[in-house]
Amino acid sequence: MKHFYTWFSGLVLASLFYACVPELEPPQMSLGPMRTQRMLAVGSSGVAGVANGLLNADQLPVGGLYAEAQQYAFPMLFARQVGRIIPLEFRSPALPDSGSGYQYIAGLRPAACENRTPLPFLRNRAAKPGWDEPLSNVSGYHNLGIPGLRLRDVERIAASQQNHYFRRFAGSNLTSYTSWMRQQAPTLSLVWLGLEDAMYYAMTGCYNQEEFMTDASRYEAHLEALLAELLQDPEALVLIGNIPDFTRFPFFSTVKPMYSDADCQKHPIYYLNAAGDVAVADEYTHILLPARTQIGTATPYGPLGLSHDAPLPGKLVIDPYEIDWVSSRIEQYNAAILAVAARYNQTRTRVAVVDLAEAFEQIQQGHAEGGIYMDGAYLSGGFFSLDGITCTPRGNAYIANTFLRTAQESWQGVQIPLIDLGFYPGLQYP
Amino acid sequence: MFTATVFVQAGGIQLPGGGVRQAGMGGAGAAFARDAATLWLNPGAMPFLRRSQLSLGGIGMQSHSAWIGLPPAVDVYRTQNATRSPLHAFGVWRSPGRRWALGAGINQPFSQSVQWPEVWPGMFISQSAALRSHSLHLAAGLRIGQHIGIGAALMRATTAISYQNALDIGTLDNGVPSSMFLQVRGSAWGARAGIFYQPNERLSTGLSWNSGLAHAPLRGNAEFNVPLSWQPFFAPTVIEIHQALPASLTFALAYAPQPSLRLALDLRYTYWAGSDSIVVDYLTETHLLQDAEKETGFRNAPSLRVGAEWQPIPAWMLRAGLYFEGTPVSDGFVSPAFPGANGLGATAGLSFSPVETLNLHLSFGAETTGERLGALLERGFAGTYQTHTFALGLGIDLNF
Repeated sequence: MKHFYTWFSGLVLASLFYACVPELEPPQMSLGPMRTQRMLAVGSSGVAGVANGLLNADQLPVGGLYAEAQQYAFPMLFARQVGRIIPLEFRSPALPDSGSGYQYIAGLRPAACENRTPLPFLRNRAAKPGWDEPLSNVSGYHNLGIPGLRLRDVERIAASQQNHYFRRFAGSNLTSYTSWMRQQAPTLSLVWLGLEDAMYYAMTGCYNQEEFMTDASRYEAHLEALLAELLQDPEALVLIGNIPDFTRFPFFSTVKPMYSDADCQKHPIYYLNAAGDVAVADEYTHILLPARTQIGTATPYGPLGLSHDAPLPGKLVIDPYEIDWVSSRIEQYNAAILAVAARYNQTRTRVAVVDLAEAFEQIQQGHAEGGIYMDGAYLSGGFFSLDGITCTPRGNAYIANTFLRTAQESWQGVQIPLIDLGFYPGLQYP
Repeated sequence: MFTATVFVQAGGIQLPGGGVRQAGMGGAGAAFARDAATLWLNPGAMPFLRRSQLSLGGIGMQSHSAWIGLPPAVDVYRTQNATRSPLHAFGVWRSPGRRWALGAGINQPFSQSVQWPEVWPGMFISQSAALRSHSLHLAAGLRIGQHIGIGAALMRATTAISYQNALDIGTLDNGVPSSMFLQVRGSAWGARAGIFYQPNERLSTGLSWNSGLAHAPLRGNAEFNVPLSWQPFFAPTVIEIHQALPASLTFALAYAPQPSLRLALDLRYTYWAGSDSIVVDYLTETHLLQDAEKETGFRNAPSLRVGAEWQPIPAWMLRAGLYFEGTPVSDGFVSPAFPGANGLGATAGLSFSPVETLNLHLSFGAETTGERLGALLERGFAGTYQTHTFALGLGIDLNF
């Protein structure tokens, strides 16, 4: 009997061991002082979730906002993480199906040169007819990002009337963006606005004077006006992203200064510089992404860009002087953001600046996180979408994490789980 | 560029390798001349066996690992591990005068199996990994004088590794992540040697060396499950992996303070630093599938095992043991493929001998690693790991 007891006890013990799976204790989640009763996303294309956009004849972005892309907008991803702590409703004014149209990867084929790297070939998906018709019910939305909105236009009613997205999302009683914000009374705002104030000018090769960059003092004044509306509630808080160095985005940095022909022979590229002279592209020359499909095309004077007599037009190239000019303006914008934030942070932090400039720089250097790797390369980097200026779902997740980290660093008690980047795709392949 | 991110690491991969009796004593026994497991533990002890013996058994092991990302992560992910059942069969025939002995056997000195969820944060590093190494042994031992024995064994091992991880090129139509699966096998020769010293009936000591396995390349296939557009760039290919399994040196003591009680201590030092790199060769190399040599970050690691065996009445024996298993996985190289952390274990066992020629053994073991905050720096993957392992052993000895 004694022996049986010993034997039996051993089996019971064994059963207990078997039941013991490891238990790891997760930390307590908390929003700290952030109140999310009325959380808004305020800004332009990056906030709305534009991805895989197209270009119009003026080489300015069009399209790129569609149902699937809106689900991956970084404010939506931020809201999902907040929603793990408290129930949160966060809605975008949805576009149907293909929305305003976008590019997609139709397949892969080996590159003619460069070790036969698989290269995607792209096709366009047309906009859904009627995508820009005003919504019948324009209330109850939280992501108020307007693609193409510039900070200098936030107080202009005319600008809102010209913007298809604004007309759809804000309804028939169109007003300025700032006035629209005045009606929202947010408790927490995610803001990213002002990139287009300089980037659209650069996207036209610093050529289109109508897109001339917003000057810094005007930038600061409009930002001040906008934040005043978002901070009406004395307990309201703002997370505002600064401006990354977009001259390093793939749109500006992918096309190399030497062109490889069908026999993988390299040829110099000629272009018209800011002074109107024909110059040869070098490592400091930024040839814009649309030139990729235009270099080598036949002209009466020879293949475009490959002949001194048929240089690339100025709108397809930014030379070093123009780059310095644009980069300097970005720095001024970021200084303005800091200055405006400081005015609201006299006694406590109400406006936390999200250092997207640094976050994007880390991507350019190459960033390994959560078992995946991203960099700023076009098509292969996993961060930028097919248009070379907006982000993939994974890139947006990275931006959302940057906002989440800033909230944690700025306000005591904030403990919101970060997003696992690997759960979101980079580019999507058939 | 994609490589097989195979990190054959050591957390729990190296087994004590002895019999069920030793499993109940914390795995200690290299200074014990008690049963046919001396073939593996210390061939120099074989001539000292009281009887020739055939020992058969198996130890079923199940490990559960958990992982949580860095704060403020809140999601805990757990493995669904297969049960490993290393089997062993040892036979030792000693000469009537106990001057020499011969032995043959088979066991599984290295074994690991881990299965993470198909979709989890570490899926691009590991979804599943398994390693099994079976060894065939031929051993001989010689008694020198009254108290000393020396022995040597030759072993032929066959190792099989399988590995699956997700590929970061999108999902299939059904939403399942793209993945790569590889399976390789190879064989290797190895050797062991041992010295056994028993100055009196109460005390014995031993020193045992194991050469490990320096494999010829493990060879097999890599297959890919990728979206249609990627398939021309990921054709199945032959793959070779160069992976060595480590040598070890064990010092052991056994002491019987009274005839019915025996105590054992084994201190083993495993030379994992000799396996400091893994080389992966694709027979058909492409721009995306590149040969690579990966640093493992292994460091030499100790283990300490202590056990006790008590015979209250002639037909029964009870055992207990404790052990510490040091991990060779350095900080910065902690991978979910084989979560490595220092382990603490406790064991228990019992034996019943209904007749003199037959022993029946039962053993239980439980091990925990505690929480280890670890990172695989190259991949930017970090978090806290913990592993619990449970083992149940059954064995039978035939004495003749």
